[in-house]
Amino acid sequence: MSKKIVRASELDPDFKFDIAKTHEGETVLWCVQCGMCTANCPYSEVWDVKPHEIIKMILLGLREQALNCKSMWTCATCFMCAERCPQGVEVGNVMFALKNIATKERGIPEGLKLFGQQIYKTGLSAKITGFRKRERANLGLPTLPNVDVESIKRLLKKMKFDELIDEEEETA
Amino acid sequence: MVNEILVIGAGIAGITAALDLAEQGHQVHLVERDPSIGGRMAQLDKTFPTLDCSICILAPKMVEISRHPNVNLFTYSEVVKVQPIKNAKAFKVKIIQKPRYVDSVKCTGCRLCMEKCPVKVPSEFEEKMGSRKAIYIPFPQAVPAVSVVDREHCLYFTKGVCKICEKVCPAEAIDFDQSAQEVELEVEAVVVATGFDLLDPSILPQYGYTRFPNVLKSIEYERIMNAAGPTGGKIVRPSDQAEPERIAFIQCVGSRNVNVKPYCSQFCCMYATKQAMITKEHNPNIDVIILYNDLRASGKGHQELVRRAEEEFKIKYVKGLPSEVQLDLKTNKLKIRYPDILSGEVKTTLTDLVVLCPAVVPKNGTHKLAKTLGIDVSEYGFLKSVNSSAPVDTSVPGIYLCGTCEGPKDISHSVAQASAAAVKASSRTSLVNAKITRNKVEEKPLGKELRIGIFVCNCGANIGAFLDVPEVVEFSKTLEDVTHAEEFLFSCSKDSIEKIKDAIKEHDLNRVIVASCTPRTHELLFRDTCEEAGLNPYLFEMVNIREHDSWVHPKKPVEATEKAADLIRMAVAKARLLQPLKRLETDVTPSALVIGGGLSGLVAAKAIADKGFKVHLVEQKDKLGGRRIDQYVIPFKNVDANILIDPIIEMVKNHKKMEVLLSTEIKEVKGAIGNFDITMFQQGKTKKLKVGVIIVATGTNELTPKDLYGYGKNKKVVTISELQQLTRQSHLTDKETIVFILCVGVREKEGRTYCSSICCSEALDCAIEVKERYPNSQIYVLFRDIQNQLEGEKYYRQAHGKGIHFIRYISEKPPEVSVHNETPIVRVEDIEGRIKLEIPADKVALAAPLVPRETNRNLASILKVPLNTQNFFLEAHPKLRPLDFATDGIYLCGTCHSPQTIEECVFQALGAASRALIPLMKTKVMGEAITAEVNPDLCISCGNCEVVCEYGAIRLEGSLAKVNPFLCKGCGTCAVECPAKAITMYHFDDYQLLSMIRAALEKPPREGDLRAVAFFCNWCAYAGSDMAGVSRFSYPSTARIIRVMCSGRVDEMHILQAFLLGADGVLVGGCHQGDCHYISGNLMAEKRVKKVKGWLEEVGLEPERLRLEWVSAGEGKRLAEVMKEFTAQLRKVGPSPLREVSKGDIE
Repeated sequence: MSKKIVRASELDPDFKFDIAKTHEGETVLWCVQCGMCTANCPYSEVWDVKPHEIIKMILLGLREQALNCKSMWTCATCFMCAERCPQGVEVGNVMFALKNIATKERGIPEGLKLFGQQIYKTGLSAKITGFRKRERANLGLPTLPNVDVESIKRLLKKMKFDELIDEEEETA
Repeated sequence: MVNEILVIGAGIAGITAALDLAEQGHQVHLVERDPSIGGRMAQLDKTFPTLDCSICILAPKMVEISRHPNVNLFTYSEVVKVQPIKNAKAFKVKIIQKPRYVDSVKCTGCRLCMEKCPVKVPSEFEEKMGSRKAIYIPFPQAVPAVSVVDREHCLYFTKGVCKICEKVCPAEAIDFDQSAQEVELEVEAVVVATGFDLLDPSILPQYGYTRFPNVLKSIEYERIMNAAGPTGGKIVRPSDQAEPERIAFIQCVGSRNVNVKPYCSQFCCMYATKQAMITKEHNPNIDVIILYNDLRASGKGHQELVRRAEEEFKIKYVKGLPSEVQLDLKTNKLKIRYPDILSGEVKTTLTDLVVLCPAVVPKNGTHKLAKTLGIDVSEYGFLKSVNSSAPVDTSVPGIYLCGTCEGPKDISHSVAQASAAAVKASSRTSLVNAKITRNKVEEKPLGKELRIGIFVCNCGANIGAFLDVPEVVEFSKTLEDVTHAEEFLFSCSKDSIEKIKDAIKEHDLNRVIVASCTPRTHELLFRDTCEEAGLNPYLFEMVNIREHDSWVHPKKPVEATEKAADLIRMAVAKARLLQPLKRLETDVTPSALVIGGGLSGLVAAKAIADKGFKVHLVEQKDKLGGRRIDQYVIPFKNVDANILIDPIIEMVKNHKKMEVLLSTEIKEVKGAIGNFDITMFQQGKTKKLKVGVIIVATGTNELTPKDLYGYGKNKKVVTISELQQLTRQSHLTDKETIVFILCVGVREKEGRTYCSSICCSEALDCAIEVKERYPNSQIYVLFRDIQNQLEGEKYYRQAHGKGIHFIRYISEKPPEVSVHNETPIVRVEDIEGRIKLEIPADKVALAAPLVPRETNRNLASILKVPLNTQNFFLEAHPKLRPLDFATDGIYLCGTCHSPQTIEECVFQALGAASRALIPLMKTKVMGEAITAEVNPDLCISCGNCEVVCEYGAIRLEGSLAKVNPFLCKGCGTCAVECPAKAITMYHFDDYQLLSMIRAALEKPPREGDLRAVAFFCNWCAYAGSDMAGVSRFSYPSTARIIRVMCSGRVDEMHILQAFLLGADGVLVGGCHQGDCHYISGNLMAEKRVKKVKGWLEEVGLEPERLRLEWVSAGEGKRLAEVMKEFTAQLRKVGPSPLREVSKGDIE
C-alpha cells in the first residue's frame, strides 16, 4: 500500500457500512485479517493488492484506494475465499459490492468494456465453437438454442449496460 | 453418610481434585473410563513453559493417588447414574465396572500376556501410530498396572480360539468369565473432570489430514517426539521414516472459525511453541515455522518462552494462515501457500511434515454424562459453569467442574480449578478433621550387623538391553555387607514391590538399594515399600542406571555395565552410613492468615472459614474489596465488580469465624507450617497471632503509565479504566475519536516481558461500551495480538460488527503520540494493511497493565518465599503446584501470582483455600526428615549459617545455632558454610558424600579413559541428566554423578577429596541463576568453585579440571553437550597426576 502517511480525516468511516449495507458486501465487517482468503486466491501472487488487503482498505475507510484497486476486476469469482474464510466473510462477494460502487462512480476498466461490447453484440460471454457443438452431440446433450441477441440487447439497454460499455451504435 | 465424594475422570484435573479431597480426609471414589488413569497429560512429551517431562511429573501423582488409603479407584468404569437424594444434600451413584477379563488382584503387571498375545491392534495411547496387543496395559507407567482384554480384537472372544494369555500368565489372573460389575454408592458431592478431545481435522478436508500421511494432529506429533513413543523419540515423516528438513505448524484448525468452533482453544499457540522448541532440541537443523493468526501467549512465563523460541531456537512465527495443504507430486513433500501478512507477500513452501493444531472439543461422551448428571452444557458444548464468581459450580448444587471439560485451558489452570472444585465439594461435607489411616508398620530393630539388599531393575528392556544386568547383580553380591541381590523385570511393579518386602523380611535386610531409574520419580515409592516392611524409609538408597546410564550409553554395553557397578558401589558406600531418620510431627494451629482483602483474599478466606476454621484476614488499606471495587467492570458481562464483591464482603464481615484486620501490615513471620508466629502493626500498635497456614493474596497495581504516550502531560491521554469512568459518567461527547493503545509497557524485550493478559478483554469491552453509548464516535484499537478468553472471541466479532477499527502494530514500530494544539496525534503503522496512519484523537486510552506491587519484595522476604524475575510471587511448580509456595504451609492466589481474569482469581482463591485446608484438616503435619542439625559441642556461634539460610530455618539462639526442622528444606548450604563443621546435613552428610567420592574413584578408569566426579543438584542438573536420558542424548561415560539436594551443598572439601583421590575432573552442576530451588544455593556453589579453582592453580593442577555448569531440568541436550565438552577438555589436559599418588588414604 502507500508509503505516505494517511490522515484520519482522509478516511471514510462510513465506507465499510456502505459496503455492508449491500447484499453482496454484508459480511465485510467480520474480517480479522487471518489472510486465509489470500492464501486461497489463485491470483494473489500477481495482484497488486491482495484480497485481505482490499478488505482492510474497506474497513479502514480508504475509499479511493479501494475503489481504484485493479485487483478486484480480475477476481475469478472462484469463491474459494468465501468457502474457507473462518469468519464467514464472502470476500468474492465483497468484491462485487466494491465493483458496483466503482462502476457507478467511475465506470469500468477499458478491457472490460471490450468484453461487455462482445456480450452486447453477440449475446454470449464466450463464443460457442464447432468443437463444443460436436462434443455436446457426442455426449447426447441437446443442441444449444439460438441466442436471441435482440432481446438480450433490449434487456441490457434497460439496465443501461450500453452506456457502461460506451456502446453508441444503437443509441445513435 | 461418611464424607464420600465422587470424582469423574482421572486426568490431571481429576487426580488433583481427588488428591486434595483425600488429603483433607474425605473418602474419594475416582472413576476413570480408560483402563489407566493419567489422561491427556500422560500422553504429552513435555509441558510448557518449563519443558518438564510430562510423565515424569505426572507419574508420581498417579502412584500417590493409587496408594492413597482414602481413594477408591475405579478404572475402566463408567458412571451411569447420579441421582440427587431428596432432602439429603447427597447423590445416589451407580458405576459400571467393565470387565477386564483379568483379575486385578492377581495380576502383577508382568506383561507376559502382552508379549505372547498374537493380535496386534493400533494403540489408542499412541494415537494409533504404534500398536498394542489385544491384551494390554496402555502405557509403561499405567496405573493400575493391570492388563485388560480388548474383547473386540481378542481371538478367543472373536473366534473362540487362542487363550495363550491364560496359559502364560504366571499369576493365573486371566478370567474370561468376568462380567460387568455394578457398584452403588452414596456421595455428598460430585467433581466432574472429563477432559477434552481434539477436533478430528479430517472434517476439514483442505488440510489433507488422513489423505496425506505426513499431515499430523498435534497430539500425534507429541507422541512422535516422545522417547517412549512409536518412533522411539526420533522425529521422522510417517510416510518413509526419513528425518524432516522442515516442519510447519498450522494454528486455528477449526478454532476461531464461525463455521466450525467459533472460540479460541486457548493453549495451541503455546504447545506449538513447545513442540517447535523440542523439535529444534532434537535437531537444530530442522526448519520450523508456525503459522498463526494471533499469537496467544498470555500465561505466566509464556511470552518469555515464545521469545526464547524465536531468538534462541530460531523458530519462525508467521502471521497469516494457510488455507490448504497440498501434495507436491515432484518432491512428494507437502505444499503450503500462505500469506505473510507482515510483508504482504504470498509465499509457498514445501515441507516434510505439517502439524495441525485442531480445536479443543469436549471429550466424547460429555453430553451423555451431562444428561446423566442433569447439568447444563454451554453454547460451545463444554460443561457449563455458573458464572465468573462461581467458576466451578454447575446448575446442580453439589456437582462441580474442573479442567478442560469446562472449557479449553492449560494444565496450570486445570490444576488450580481442580483444587477449587475440591474445596467446593469439601464444603458440602461435614468433615472437619481428616481421617487418613495408613497401614503403619512398627519399625523393626536394626541390629548391629549391616545387611544390605540390592535390587537391580531391567526396566523391561530399557536397562537390560543396554547393559549386563546379571553381571551387575553378581558384582553387587561381592560388595561389603551385601547379603542379598536380585534382578527384576520391573522393580516398580506391584509384584516386585511385594518381593522387595518379602526379601527385607526373609534376609533381615536393614539397608535397601534399588538400581533402576531416577529417584526423582520413584524414590518415594521404594521408601514407602521399606516402611511397609518395617524399615525406616531413610535406610533406602536409589541408583539411577537408566536415565544416567543405559539410556545415555546405548552403544557401549561394557562401559555402561562398569558404570552401573561403580554407581552401585557408591550407593553401598553411602548405604553403609545411612541412619534411620525421623520425621517430626507437630499439631497444626487450626487457623489461617489471609494476606490481602481483595477479591481473591475474600474468596479464599470465606472458603476456609466456611469449613469451620478461624481466619484472620489482613488488609493493608482501611477497607475490603481491593483494587477492583471502585471501578472495575467484568469484561463482557456488564456487571460491576461491586455486585460480585459486595455480598462476599458482607458475608466475610458477619462470619463468626472471621477476624478482619484493616490498616494492618505484616511485620514478621516466624515458625513453619502448622505454627506460624505472626507479628503485625495495626495503626501503630503491635499485634501478634499464631496460625497454621498462610495465604498470600496481595493482588497487583495497575501501572500508572507515566511518561508513556504522553500520559500525565496531556489530559486527553487516559487509561482504559479512566475512560470507562468518563463513559459511565457521560463525560464524552458523541463523534469523538478515541484511540486505544494496547500492550503499554508490557511484552517488552527487557523489563516487563510478560503479557498482562486481561487488557485486551478490557479494551474490547470498553470500546464496545463507548460505541454503544456514543454511536458516532470513531474508535481505533491499536494492538499487537488480541488475547481473548473463550467468550472473548464473540465480543471481538461484535466489536468488528460495530465498525471499531483494529490496527495491528509490531513492537519494533510502536505507535507514537505527539501533541498539536493540545490534541494528541497518534501515528501508527498498520502492518496488516501496511499503511501509516495519523489519527488526531480526542482521547487516547492506554491499556495500563497489571504490575506487581512494590511491597511484594518486602513481604517475600518476611515470608521467605521467592519472586520471579518480574517480581510476581513464584509458585512451587508452574504446572502441578500453581497455588503452593515451595515453603510448606504458604499458598498464593490471584493477581499477585500473575495477571488474571476475575474468573481465574476466583478459582485460584478457592483452590488456595483447598490447599490450605489440607494441613488444617489433617490437624498434624510432618516435618522434613532430611534436615540440618547443629552439634552444640562444636558450634562457635559465628552466625554464618543464619546468614546463608534463605528460609530462616537456622538461627542463633543465645550462643548456639538451632535448626527449626519444620522450616529447614535440606539444601545443606549451612553445613558447608559452617567453619567448625558443627552442622550435619542428614542423608547427605560429609561422611556419606566423602565415602561416595571414594567409591566412585576406587576403580581407576580403563587405560586411556578418564574419570570425573559430578555433583549435581537434585532439581536442575540431576533432572537435566534425567532429561538427557529420557531424550536418549548419549555422551561419554566419564563422570560418576553424585546427587546432592542443592549445588550449595558441595563443599570445597568434597571437590578437593575427589582430586586427591585421583579424579581427572570435577563437575558441579546447579540451577540457572534465579532458578535455584533453594533461592541462592547455586550462587554459593559458584563462589566456592571459584575459590577452589584458585587453590588448584596454586598447587599446580589445571583449573580447567574443575567446572561449574548451570543446567535446567529441561536441558537434556545441553547436559549431554556439557558432558562431551568436559570430557574433551579433560582429554586435553590429560589424566590427573594425582591418580597414581592417590592410593594412600587422605581423610
